[in-house]
Amino acid sequence: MKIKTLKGKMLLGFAVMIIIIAGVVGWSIYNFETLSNAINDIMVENYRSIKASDSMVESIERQDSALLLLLRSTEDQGQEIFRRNEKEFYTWLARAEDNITIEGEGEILEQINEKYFSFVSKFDKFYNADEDQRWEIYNQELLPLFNEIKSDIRELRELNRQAMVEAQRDANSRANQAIIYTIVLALTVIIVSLIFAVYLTKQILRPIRELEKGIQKVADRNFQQQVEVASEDEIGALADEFNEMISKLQEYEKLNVKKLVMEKEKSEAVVNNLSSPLIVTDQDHKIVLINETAKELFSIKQDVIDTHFLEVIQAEEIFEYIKNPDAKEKRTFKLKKDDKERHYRISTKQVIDEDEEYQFTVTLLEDITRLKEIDNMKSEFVSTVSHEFRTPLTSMNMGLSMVINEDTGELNEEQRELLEAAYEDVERLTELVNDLLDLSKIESGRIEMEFDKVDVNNLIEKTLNPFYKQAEEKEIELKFKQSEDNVFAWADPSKISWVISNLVGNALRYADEGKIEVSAEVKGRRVLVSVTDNGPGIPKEYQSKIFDKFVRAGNDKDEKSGTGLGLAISKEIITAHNGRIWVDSEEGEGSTFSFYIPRFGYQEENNE
Amino acid sequence: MSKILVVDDEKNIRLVVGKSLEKAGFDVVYAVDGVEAVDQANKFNPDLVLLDLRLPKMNGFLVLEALKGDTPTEDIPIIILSALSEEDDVQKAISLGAEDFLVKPISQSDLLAAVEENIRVEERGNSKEEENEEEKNYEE
Repeated sequence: MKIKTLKGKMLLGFAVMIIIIAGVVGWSIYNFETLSNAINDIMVENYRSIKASDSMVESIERQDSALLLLLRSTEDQGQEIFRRNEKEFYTWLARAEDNITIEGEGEILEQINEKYFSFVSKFDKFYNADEDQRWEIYNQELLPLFNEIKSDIRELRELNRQAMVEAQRDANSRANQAIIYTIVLALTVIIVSLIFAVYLTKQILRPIRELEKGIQKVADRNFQQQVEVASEDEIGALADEFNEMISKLQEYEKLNVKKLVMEKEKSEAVVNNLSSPLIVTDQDHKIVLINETAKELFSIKQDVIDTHFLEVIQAEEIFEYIKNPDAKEKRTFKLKKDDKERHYRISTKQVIDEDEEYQFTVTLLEDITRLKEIDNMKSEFVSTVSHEFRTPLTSMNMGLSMVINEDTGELNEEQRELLEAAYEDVERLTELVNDLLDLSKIESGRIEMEFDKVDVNNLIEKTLNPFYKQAEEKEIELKFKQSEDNVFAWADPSKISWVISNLVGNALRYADEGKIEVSAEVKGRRVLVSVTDNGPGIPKEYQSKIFDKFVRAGNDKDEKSGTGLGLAISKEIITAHNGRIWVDSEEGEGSTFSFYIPRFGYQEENNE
Repeated sequence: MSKILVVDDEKNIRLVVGKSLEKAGFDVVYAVDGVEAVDQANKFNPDLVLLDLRLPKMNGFLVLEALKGDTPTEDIPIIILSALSEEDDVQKAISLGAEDFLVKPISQSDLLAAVEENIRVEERGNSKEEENEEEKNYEE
């Protein structure tokens, strides 16, 4: 039967020890007993025989003395002594006969008995004889008998003495043996106990060690190995629980790892199959991730992970853009791919991990070459069409004006009215064509911005001049609210003037009364120009589209509308300045058109 | 009476421009392509040429170059009247010696103003001052 519990094992261990100790004790007791018996033999048996022998000798010698007394005629005393010692002798003889322990002792005693009987019988003969006879009897019979008896007794004594010596030797050897046995046994017990104790300790400790190792492994996140604890005790149970825990952890880990791997593969697949080049860099601008398209674009063949951006991609312009985490505006770069120039729109995104420890920059390059091409084609088309419009418009314009000026004869009112309507539309068409051409020129970059230091206050004043009369006619208060001196911008003055004219012109066109306020102020690195009116305002749904081509806010049933290109051109001009134009408007309350352009001295940070 | 050569391949332009100039009291001769323009200029020695740029056979720039590079015609003022309005075209025309650059469409009054300003008169002394003023116009 196997003992399963730790308690059982320990109790068994103790039980074995107790049994062994009990065995040793029993063994010792047995030895003591044997020894005691041996001593007993010596003390009781042999000693008694020796004592009896001695007493017998004493008695017989007294009898001999009694005989000698009788020889000197001391009748009564001699007899009495002889008889008393005869009794004594027999008593001791009987005792000796009771205590026959040695081989040969019985025969000697029988001999003594016989001889002594003869000795006593002779005494009667001696006692009854006269003096001379007595001597003769004594010398002839009694004395030799006496000597014989004495010699027999001595033999008996010697026999017993020898037996005693033997017994003593025997006891000694037994004692020695017992000592040796005891020592051997004790040593054996000690060794066995030690072995047993070590074994038991090991038995108990081994599973604990296994468990410890297992726990260490789990702590190191190694869930592969189970703890092998063969014992079925408490530790075994603990190990089983532990193993179960490990397998659950393992399952969990596997699931997690599987999930993670899947997610990673998914992300990698997405990134790699992205048709746009994508590069992820860390805060030291080292490449963390780069997709195949990006590698292809920059002709990268080797592994570039953990390499500095500039080491891999020799495009300082792009690097400058990535380096600046505040760069939110998308920018367009020209890059050569397969010896062809392609346009890429670059955008970056800062990614910060949960612990805010790592900061990554995700850079996406969007190939907009096709878009650019389409855009260019469109511009080209618009430009061509517009050009083609110009020649017929010239004949229409001049022809009509000649007729209206009555160079060709008088006109009646009806004819004049109709021709003037036609002329007006020719003018509108002309304006539209010109705007379209301007726009396509700016869009295609064919109009170069001539940047210069511009005194914005001065520019606004000059720009507003032609509008005051028009405003007065419409009873609109046009005001330049100059808030500070020295507002200097880095801009193309004629283009910015065009934008301000367009904004003021729009305000005048749409407002019937009230006021228009123009202001300029320095805002950090930029100059902010605003045109505020209290006209009808722009409906919310139009506010985001108003800078698109041909978009006009509200109902255009009136004839106030322009070409619908003014704001689109304004936006292009401001964008070419690296600025921003926008509108804040509340329907019925008026609108504020504002734009930013770079402040003079700060163009480096704002400009390309 | 001052004579003006109108060079344009468009019949309608020739008609309206010619009529406008005639009404203003000028003599008008015409050419429909570049080759004819050079011939006509040599033949009539006009006091002004209104020259289109996109022309058959020989484009306006070549005509301009031919007229300004040939002694008999080099003094004839030339006003470009074109639908092209690219900065490059304007610069090229001015550098080749054009006196003015008008972009189509143009109103009758603007056309006449430019003609009056540039037409060759007997007193040659004015021409330099006029040129200075003209340059400002190109910018617009």
